Amino acid sequence: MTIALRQRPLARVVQGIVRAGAGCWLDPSDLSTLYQDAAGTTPVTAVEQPVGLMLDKSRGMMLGPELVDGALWGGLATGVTYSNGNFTLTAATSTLLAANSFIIKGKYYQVSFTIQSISTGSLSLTFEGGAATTPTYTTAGTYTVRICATASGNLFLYNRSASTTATVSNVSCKEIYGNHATQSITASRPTLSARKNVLLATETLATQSVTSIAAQYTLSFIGTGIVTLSGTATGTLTGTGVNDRVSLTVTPTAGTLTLTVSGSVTKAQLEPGASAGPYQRVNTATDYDTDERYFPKYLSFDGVDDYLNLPYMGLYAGGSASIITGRDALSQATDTYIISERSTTDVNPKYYPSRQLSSGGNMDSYITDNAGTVVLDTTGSAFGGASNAVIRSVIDAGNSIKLLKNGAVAASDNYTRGGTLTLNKTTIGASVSTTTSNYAKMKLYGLLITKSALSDAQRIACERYAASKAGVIL
Amino acid sequence: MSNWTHTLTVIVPELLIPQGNQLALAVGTSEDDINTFKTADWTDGTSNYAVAHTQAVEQIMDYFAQVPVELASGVVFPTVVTDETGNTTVNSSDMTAIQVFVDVDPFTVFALLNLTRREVV
Repeated sequence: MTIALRQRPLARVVQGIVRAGAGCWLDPSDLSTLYQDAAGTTPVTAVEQPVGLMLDKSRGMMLGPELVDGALWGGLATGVTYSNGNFTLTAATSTLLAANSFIIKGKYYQVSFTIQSISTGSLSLTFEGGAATTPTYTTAGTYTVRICATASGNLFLYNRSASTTATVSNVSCKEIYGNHATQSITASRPTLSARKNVLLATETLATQSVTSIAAQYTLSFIGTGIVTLSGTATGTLTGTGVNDRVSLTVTPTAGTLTLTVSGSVTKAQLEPGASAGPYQRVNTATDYDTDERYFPKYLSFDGVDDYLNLPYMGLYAGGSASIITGRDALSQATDTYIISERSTTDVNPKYYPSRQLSSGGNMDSYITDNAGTVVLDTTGSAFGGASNAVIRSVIDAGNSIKLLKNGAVAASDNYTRGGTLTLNKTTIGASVSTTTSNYAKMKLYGLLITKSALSDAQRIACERYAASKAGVIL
Repeated sequence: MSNWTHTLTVIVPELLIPQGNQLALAVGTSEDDINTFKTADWTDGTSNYAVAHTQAVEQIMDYFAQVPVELASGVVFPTVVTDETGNTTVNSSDMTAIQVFVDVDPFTVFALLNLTRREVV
């Protein structure tokens, strides 16, 4: 007998694992899941735009049942007529086209409709009791928006002008299942980036200063000129010709690094790490090469005020959890957390399964209960020194917790869950309790979370996928 | 290409946090920007400050120009200059006002202003 095994794409395998674990799959490389604002009204279309909403891909962006009841719409709305599948909103500022009463505040919905015709004026979507959302719709066409409900109850398609007559059809409203990550405060949104080369105008380099951190960098260029380093590092790199790329690795301190250029220095690159990688042309801070084969996309958290909120996931309360992520591995002045669970009313309970310690580049796990008693404080394991992506895995089985770096076990500790942890907040990149603190400065290439302890086979599949997204070879 | 071409680093003295939030609301993109500055968790050893760092669209200075004068009068825009030896200095800083640094790395700003994080429980 022959058994034929059908090869499944790794992404499908990972999706199945995360979905079965009631978890969350965030993928910065998939622009169809990214929005600039938390309400989901403005898509992310390019690098260096802020990210206010990341849709969870673990449910395959699966949509719930249709929430629009055609008969209800025609029956409830004032100033609305119905004929052959078309709703016509006539001239009355207060004209509303009601959806239904099943909208739940905080959940995300995919709303679509076709405007067959519209006179002067505009339509907009409005949640019951809330302000009209943007954008407004002024021209005929088919529209699909993903939007967060700001109030429970009904969703309205709102005729904004007394002089407007609009005919609308194919109206649909469905919940987008999943644990989506959001940030409603503009300044606290991370940024989508694929930037590796920290220089500007790199095709023909001119003297410039950049901000360095205390880590290895490699400078490389083609040409016959000379680059002299000053400020946080010193050194000189002399070109050897138009066909040769020369390189110099330095370890500056944190601060301002100045590159003084003389002669012809072309296709210049200053990048984190100990060797020169593929050249990334950078024109301006927002105009640079983004070929994903060489420059994987990541979320850039600024270390000042950036973080993302998840719906409270109960990773500790569920008894077991797993976190697989690709991120850089640099320590900062304070401890930082990829994922944290806290209480917004009590500073004591803390669930930090993935804590980047402030010293030595080490990572550990740390848990305290409502009384502030330490439940678990593992010995830190070396995760530092790498300014490019590292695949980090945390497998919390409830009575043991395991940390892995690039697929290799870095620490494994047994522990006993004691005391009570009353948690209500799950966040990425900061610790949110009665205050918000410990903002991570990190590059996050992707995040997989499950409310289960992954088996080794599941973990390895997730790590391989995360590695492929982060440009890491496992 | 993105039109989020600038970055802003905003330093707000503790006593001016309400005004800082009004400014964030005036130039930001969300009603929740009224909560941008919550905690003065940075200090220069004498006074405490709330800070924010954000991407900004290329027209951001036009937006600042439209801020009501009673709010704008308390805002300054210091500049940072780096010479060829890598020495960096800040000009027109006023630690008693809301300071907006445009296109300067936030941690460079904090270092120039001698600001360090402080633990706030």
